[in-house]
Amino acid sequence: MELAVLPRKPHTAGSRPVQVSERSSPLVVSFDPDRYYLQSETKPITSPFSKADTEQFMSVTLSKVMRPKVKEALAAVITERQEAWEEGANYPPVSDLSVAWACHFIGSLPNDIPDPEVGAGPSGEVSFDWYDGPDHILSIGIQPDGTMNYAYASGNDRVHASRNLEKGLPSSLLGMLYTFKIEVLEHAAG
Amino acid sequence: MPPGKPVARKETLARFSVFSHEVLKDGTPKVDLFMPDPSHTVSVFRIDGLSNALIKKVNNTVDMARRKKLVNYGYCPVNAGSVMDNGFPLDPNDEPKHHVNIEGFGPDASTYRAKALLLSQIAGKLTDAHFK
Repeated sequence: MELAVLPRKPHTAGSRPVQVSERSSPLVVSFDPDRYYLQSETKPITSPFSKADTEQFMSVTLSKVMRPKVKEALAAVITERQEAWEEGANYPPVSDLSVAWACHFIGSLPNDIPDPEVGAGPSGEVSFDWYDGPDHILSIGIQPDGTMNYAYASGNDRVHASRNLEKGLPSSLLGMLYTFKIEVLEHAAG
Repeated sequence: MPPGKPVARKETLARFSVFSHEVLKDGTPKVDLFMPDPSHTVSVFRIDGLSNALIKKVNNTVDMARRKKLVNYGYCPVNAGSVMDNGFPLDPNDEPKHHVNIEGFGPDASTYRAKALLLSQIAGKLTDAHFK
């Protein structure tokens, strides 16, 4: 029996430019994957659709852009932090802009990168972590201004750096992401 | 209040979790659990020699201070000697009782994350045995 890692696809999305601005509506991101920028809704828009229809449309759109499990986990983190904030906890809710950038980041990942663990840091930044045992970890925090701070450990190798997502995903980070097991296919011998 | 006595290398320090997303499903601490607060420190508590009832009391105090309600997720233990060996100074300020600050998270945000990652690697899995 052999184990084969799925072939990796060439990745170009990470180098595309991106723009982001403050959103007027929390948790609703207008994401145009063809143009790769996030649009804010700064003026009232007369929609022929009901609010429920629009929300459903956005949900479906986001599901296509984001991985469903990541989206679900992110929603749970946002809810927990929001509830804590409303109950008087010391931690701010997850930042809307951090969420917007996080959506962009996830949408920029090649398909064969596994889903990350989702969390939030003490200042409300979204975090994505990849774990492959205690000696192989990648952790990324995404700030509201689009800066991602990341730290990687693999055995004795340790790297940490910052990069603004406007500049795309650095090739070094993609290399780190690809060190995590993705998916294996079992081929029956004979 | 005078500072507490210096932390011995063999001591166990407890990092209490107050959000469900701070640990993996199997209890492994995530990096978020050890991200420093705005004062660039991480709060832990000395628990060696404390009864389960006392640890529970400390846990409840932490929950109320940080979440304003009891969540009782428990804590991830970390050996003080390992923390020191990785370059983190410890401030046993004993405010509140048994409290220690882990310091030395560096000059910038990516260093904070790298240091928090390091602490998450040397910490043990989440335990809530003191509630049982």
